[in-house]
Amino acid sequence: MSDLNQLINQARDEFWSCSKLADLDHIKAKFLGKTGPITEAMKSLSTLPVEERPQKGAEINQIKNQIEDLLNTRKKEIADHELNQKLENEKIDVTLPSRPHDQGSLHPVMKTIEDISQIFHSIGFDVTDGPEIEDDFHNFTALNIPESHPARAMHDTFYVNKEYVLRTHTSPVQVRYMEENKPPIQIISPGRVYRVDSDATHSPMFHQIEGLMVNEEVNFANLKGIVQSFLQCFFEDDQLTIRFRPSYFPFTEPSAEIDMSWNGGWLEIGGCGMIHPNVLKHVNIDPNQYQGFAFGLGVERLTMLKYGVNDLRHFFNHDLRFLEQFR
Amino acid sequence: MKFSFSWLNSYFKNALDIQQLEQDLTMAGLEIESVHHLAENLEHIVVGEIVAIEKHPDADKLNVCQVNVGTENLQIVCGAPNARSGIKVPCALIGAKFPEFTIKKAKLRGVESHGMLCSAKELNLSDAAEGLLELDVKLTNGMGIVEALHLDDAIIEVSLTPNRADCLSVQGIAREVKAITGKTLSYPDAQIATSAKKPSLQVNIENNKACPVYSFVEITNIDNTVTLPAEIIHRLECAEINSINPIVDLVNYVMLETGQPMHAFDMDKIKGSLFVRDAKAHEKIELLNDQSVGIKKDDLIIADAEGPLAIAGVMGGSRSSVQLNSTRILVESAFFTPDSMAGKARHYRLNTDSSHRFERGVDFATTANSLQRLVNLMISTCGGEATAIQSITGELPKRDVIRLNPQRVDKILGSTVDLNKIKDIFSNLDFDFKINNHIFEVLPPSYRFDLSIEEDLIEEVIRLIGYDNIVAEPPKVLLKPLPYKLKESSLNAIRHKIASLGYHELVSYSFIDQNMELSMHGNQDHIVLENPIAENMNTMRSHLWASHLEALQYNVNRNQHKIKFFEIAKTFIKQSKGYHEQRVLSGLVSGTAIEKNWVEKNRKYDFFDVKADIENLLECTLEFQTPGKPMQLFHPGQQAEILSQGKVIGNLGMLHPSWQKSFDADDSVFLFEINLDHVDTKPIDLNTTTLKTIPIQRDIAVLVDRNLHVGEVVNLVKNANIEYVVDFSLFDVYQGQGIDEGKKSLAFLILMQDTYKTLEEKDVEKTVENILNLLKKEINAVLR
Repeated sequence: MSDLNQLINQARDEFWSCSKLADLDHIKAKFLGKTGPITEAMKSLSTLPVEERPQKGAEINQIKNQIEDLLNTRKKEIADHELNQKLENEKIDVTLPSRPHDQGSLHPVMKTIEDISQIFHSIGFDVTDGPEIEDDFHNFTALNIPESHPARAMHDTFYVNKEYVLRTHTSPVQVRYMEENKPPIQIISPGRVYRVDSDATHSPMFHQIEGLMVNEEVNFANLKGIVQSFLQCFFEDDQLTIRFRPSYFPFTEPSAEIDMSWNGGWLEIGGCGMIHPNVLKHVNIDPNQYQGFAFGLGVERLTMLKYGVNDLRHFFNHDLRFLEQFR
Repeated sequence: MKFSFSWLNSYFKNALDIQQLEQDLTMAGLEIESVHHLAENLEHIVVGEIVAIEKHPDADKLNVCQVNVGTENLQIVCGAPNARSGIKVPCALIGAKFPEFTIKKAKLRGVESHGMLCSAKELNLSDAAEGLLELDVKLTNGMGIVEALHLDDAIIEVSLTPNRADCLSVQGIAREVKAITGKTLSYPDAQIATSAKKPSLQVNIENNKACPVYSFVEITNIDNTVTLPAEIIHRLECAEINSINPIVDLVNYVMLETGQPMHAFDMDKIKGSLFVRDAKAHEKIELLNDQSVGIKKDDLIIADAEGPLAIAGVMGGSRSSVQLNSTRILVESAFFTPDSMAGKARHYRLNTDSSHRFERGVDFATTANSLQRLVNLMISTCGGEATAIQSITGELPKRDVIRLNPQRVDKILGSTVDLNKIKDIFSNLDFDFKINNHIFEVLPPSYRFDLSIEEDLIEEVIRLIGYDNIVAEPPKVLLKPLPYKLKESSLNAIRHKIASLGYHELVSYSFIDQNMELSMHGNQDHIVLENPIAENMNTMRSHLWASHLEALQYNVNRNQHKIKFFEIAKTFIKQSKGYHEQRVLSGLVSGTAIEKNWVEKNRKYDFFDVKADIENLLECTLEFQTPGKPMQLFHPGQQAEILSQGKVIGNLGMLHPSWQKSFDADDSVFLFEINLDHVDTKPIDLNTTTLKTIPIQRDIAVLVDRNLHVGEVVNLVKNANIEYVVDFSLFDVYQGQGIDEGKKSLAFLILMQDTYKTLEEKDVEKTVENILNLLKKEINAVLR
């Protein structure tokens, strides 16, 4: 029996002098294998008297278990060690640059259009669209700007021919939408517009957003409410102040310019007003039953204010060093 | 319109505050563009008289002047070419401040100088930098320049909307100030010098529809060489009206004052009687600006026996123009209707002060009063005698009563307006009104052409109450979901997706150079603008590529070597009737795909980078095929049509190398375009039957003809519907050593799966064999 007890010490020594998992398996066979001392001892049980066998058997088993425990402990020690070594070897410099990848950007003006569309969509305004080569009727006449009206001089119009122009504003979409849809109406329409004008503060092509709301009771106070809350939302500034200043558009009455307070002064950002009864009549909506407002906002101006762009021309120069900042 | 503040202020006994005025007018709809204070930094500048002058001993271009400034004579060195003895000029004394320097005692080339003689530019009065500003010699030496030149004043520029023609005069603005502030308005002398003398000339109005009122007067024995009072000259200068001669200047002055355009004819040059008539065909006139124009038939003109003297309301002719030696004149003060004036100035490209007012509407009730004002001024300054004023009156514009229901005011504004407030506003506006059964009945004044419906009156009410006084309030509506905007939101989804693939979004002009449209796209039927902003922006583009290539060039020239652009915009195509606009997604890729780095090999973009981007971008299955008719813009061997569900929806190709250099590009350029109107976002075709079993994978490599397209091989297998085959895709192409000339080796991955059991080896082998047999039969492919 003491032989077997010595076996434990011997196994411990051998297990601990081994440092590789693979070697450990060979050593294990030496003690616990089919021809090892434990197996031998078990086999020799049959030579003992029957009454001694259970006790002896139990003792052998206990020793076997002890050896197995030692083996497992050592195994775990070695495995832990090997893992730690592996982890140590796999250490990297995380400050190395990442794999090359392409990163693009969204144009600030288009970002603004998307933002505005989402804000208005969130309060139930549908987004719609109209042609950029527009006929004279929709761009002017239907908006209460008859031919030779001095108001036409307010629009430096690009002519395609006698009948067609590049739309000078997004307002013709009002007419087109009301021709097809009956009140209640709540839409906005962003898009490109064109004027024969080019200098530091004017681009021959720019963007507007048209808003239109028509039902039986929507009024000027509501127009102020919508425009004000929209701008506060867009600029993420609840304190933002705006003012409405009387103005003139042939297709609205009363009409107003929208000014926003900025750096101690006022900046014009759009025009608006109650839809002129003549415009409603043109699209067969009874002005005695329905009323509504329309507004038009300059997208470039809003974008310049939002992102601090100081020169309109940056938008159309296509300079990557400018564009890639809008990620 | 620009005008002198002090002039306006004189209507209110100088009680106006300029800052308050600016605020009041702007918030009532008359936007003040600018206020230019004339007297800024003009202290220590006085009237000086050059009493003696001699050449500077050491400088050819300098003179040494003795200048009398009232109390003393100062020695001042001056280089102005017009410096001479006897003239009076502005003299800056020691201590006078200019933007960049202060006048100090100085020595110029050894000669002491005690001040500076000034040009108009130095006083910031005009841009005339050449020579000294010569002053009226009657001015007292030593008088402050501010007083001498009426500079204690400001020029106000008001930006008037086209509906407010009634404010195109100082009196018009004054009326508005009275309406806003309630201040009392006092007009200058309206004394009527009665004359019993009848005009000698016969005036015949042949079209009294276009000219409902024609007032005129004759003035004789006029001296047109006098100097006008400094105040009048100053007020004209403030309005930027050039001085011509006293008669013309006074005509302009009264127009500025009253808003009534007038015209003076030299009576000695009028042959026979005067006619206000429609032009006949082929009539011509030599205008005051020396321009000779053909008059459009039926345009209203003023004529005599020999033909046209003036285009009515636009400009007079040179034949009867008033000159310095004119002594007998006829002055017209008429009302030409806005309808008859519409488009006239634009037709002749003559936007004059007169046409500007007439086409917007001039007060038809005061033609004679304004003319009387002119007569009074003319006689008091130029002398002479006037006849009685004659007015020939036809049918005047009708002013219909406008009814205003106060309840409607509240309904439109969303705010309650007190009835008495409306009354006050209408009274201050000098409206002729009464209240009948709680309804206002308003007769608009003769000078207001912008009031015809109830809403116009509502605007008058609200603009004078102040838009600020309406409390903003969100509208109340019934909540209901909007139809999900597939188009709009999928467009934004595409934008975000392509940006995440490395593309930068551009916004480029919709017009390009006509030559580009022709040479790049061969579009003979392109859309040209009648009035482009520049010749290279005269054509509406049918593709976005030209714009993107210019953007490429711009950036390449700024040392950018990794370029990926995209834009979603409309393109334009002429149709038999009207124009077709389609929304396209267009892109450009050029340069470095993988820049130098420590992990992998650097390389440039190629065709398949862009193809991958396009496939990633759209939610539908795409096919690429060699086009039947190649595009000239692209490399003949590197271009493809993009198809979705059998329909061509776009193109992809490498820019033809012959174009590359014109855009300074060293690297290959890839362009693509997808017509978004043709991209269907079809619902997902869901398949759950293959989820239960495990797919088996096999590779095969076959030898095929070198010219065979891989797409054909793949389609062949896919379309054969071989049992168990769920995917068949290429993973390697090889040609060269070990492969026969004219052949290539293609390696494919076959994915096989059954719907109810995992396949056994014999089924797999059978399937591979079926594929090989098919390939052998159809394209003579040999297993490697």
